[in-house]
Amino acid sequence: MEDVKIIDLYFARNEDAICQTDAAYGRKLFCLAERILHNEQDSEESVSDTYMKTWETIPPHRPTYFYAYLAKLCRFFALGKLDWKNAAKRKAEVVSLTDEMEQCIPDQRKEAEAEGKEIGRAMNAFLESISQESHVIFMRRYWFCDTIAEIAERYGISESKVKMRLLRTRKQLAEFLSKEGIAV
Amino acid sequence: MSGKDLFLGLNYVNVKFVNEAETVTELKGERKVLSVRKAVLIAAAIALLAVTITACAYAIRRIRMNLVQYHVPAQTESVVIGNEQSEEALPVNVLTDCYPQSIPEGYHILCGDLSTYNSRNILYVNEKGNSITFYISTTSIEEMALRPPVEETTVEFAAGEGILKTNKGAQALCWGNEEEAYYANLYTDDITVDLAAMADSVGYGTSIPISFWYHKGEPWDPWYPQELPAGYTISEVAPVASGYQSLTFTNGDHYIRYGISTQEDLAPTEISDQGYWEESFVNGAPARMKRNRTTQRTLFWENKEEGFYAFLETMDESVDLVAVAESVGSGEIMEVSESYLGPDFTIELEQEPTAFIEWQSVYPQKIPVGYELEYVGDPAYGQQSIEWKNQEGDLISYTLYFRLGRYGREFEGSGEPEVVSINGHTGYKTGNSLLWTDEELGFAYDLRVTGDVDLITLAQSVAPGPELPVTNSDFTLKALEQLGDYRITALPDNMIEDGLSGSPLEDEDDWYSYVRRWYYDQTNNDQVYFTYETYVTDCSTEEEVLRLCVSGMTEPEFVTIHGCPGITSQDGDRAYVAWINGDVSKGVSFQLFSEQYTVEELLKMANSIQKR
Repeated sequence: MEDVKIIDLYFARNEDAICQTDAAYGRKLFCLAERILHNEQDSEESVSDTYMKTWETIPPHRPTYFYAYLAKLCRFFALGKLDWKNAAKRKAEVVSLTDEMEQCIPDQRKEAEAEGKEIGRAMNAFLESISQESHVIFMRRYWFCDTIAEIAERYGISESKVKMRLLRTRKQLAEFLSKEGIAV
Repeated sequence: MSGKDLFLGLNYVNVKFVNEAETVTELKGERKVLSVRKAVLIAAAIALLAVTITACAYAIRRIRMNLVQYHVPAQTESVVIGNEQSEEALPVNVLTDCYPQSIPEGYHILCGDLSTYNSRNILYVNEKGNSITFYISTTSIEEMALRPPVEETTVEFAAGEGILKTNKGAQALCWGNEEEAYYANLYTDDITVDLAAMADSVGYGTSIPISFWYHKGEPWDPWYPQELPAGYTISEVAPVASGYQSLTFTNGDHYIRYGISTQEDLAPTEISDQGYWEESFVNGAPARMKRNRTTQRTLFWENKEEGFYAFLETMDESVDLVAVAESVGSGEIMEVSESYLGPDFTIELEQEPTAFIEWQSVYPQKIPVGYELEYVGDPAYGQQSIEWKNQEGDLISYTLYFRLGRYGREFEGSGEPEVVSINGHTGYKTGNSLLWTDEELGFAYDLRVTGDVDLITLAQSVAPGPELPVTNSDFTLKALEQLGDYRITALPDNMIEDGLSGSPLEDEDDWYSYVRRWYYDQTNNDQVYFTYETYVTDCSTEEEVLRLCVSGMTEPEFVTIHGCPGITSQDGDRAYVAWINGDVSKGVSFQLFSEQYTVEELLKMANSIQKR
């Protein structure tokens, strides 16, 4: 079913909306949560939470990008369930991803407390200002938690090109956060 | 703010970026400022060691191997001609010698360092606290990101033209210089500066060291801790940037981070000041120690006499931060850690895309005494791996690359290789690994050993030999038994099957098995991939199942193939045809893919598929 029609079902308060959402995107949402959590049960719960929140928020929202809207909720719930202390033991990708992201933070900013929304605003500004190639690869890696190999496969480029592009984007982000980024 | 905060903060980015990352399937590539030819840049004096042979020989080569050097040499360039390596003195080095010859009034040079092995930055500052950063690279553009709204214009100057971005409080100009083979950009938070004039003045001058820091008008070596707690050693040295440098020390379990700046107080501002503060002293001067809810402590202090601000941070409760701070003094200059600089050397392999190169049974013929054949891989996915092992557990690993695909292969970051000759072919030896090519056959060979083995002698013995039994050949046979032996019977002229791989269901709980077949046109290397595999879904319609087979493709059409529900999609050059034999919950999907044949042509092949 088309996204527009699924959203119409939500507006009509028709519970089939959730079934249709699950049919269209359930698998992808589960994969996204599983990547973060490495736990089937928690991942399923994250997807269920996503549907619940979607039901609560549509209406009044009418998302332009329906899957992105769902994925954003799902990522939020999955990260909320993540046991950060044990993530390393489960070899969760988020551990290496946060290590990589650590390199983007200028030392002058490391002491600063920053709210998620403030970081989000800074990241929007940053992503807006870099090339599409850079921000798409950056998002695949740090938002969708894709592996380097998956990104290379997805865009038909070599793994070393992905790594190099990410290295450069992280450097650009570090510079951006240092010069233009988060107001502390 | 930590990496975790940043990772979590990404959840608040605009949903359009999420959507774009999900829906974009083809990258548009980096926008270039000028049409600076890559070839010119790759030939840049300091950046490349190219394997070159005569133009006549080049014409018949079916595989190319390039060694790209990112590590900046001091003042010489190595040139490889055939198998002979010679060293020539370079007249200039773009990174050290090319920089703005004229800077705006009131500004002076402060510091500079490598950004990567092939780029560097220089910082200029004025008394008002404004700065200008000059960045130069021999291989790529680094566009500076500015906070929106950003205005973008093209500016012209004598050396060329560039793109000038401006916002409310900053401006950035980036450009490329084809003649001198570099990309550059200038960034400043001073909107009164004429960046185009500064860019115009970029040219060769007296050589400036790669790493330098001026303080109080004199070259200065940054101070750092001279005495560390027992067990701690240096683990990371960051490049000098914006008058700031950080070092990290570790004992394996914990870290001590150190930062020094001649430009700004490194202590957090009041707004973010959410820790617990204690007064302290470093060498008798006032300092401040911040603690947070964990065991993290950070000590901030200023050395007024030397004129710098610094901090030390650790979560190791046994570390006496004040004692470490009091040991901070002048020491030897430390080299920037490799992790900041990207790969130092990369070996690139690429094949002539239209040359069909068929697998042959070629491998080392003189295996050292004591080694036994351990593993023989399928000659699939364009390569075949073979391993030998001795009783001590030492391995000889050999990979034959006979088909590299559109993107070739890259081997990066393993240090400067030694150039060797293997039966008249150029090879690169790095430690216990050796990579070489045979230009006429179109093959590349990768040989790695863990024990005391003469790599060169072993490599020289690589030659055609009897076909070795593939270790997991029964996997493919079982998969064919389980799924059926399906083949395309109406192949286009000159096309042959040149690859087969499969994996069966391993037990009752397993649900995934596959067979893959590769078909190639021997005259022009056109390719068709045929895969059939099991699926298990919770889809509710056949269309949904079919969409999974051509995931991400635009405007698919639903058709019937072999009486089964099918789907086709033509996305640019990429053509997909798929059909399913089963129901919505489970079955076998058949998929054909090609970048040279159209959907119509693939449909003809699909309809000819028969089970043996």
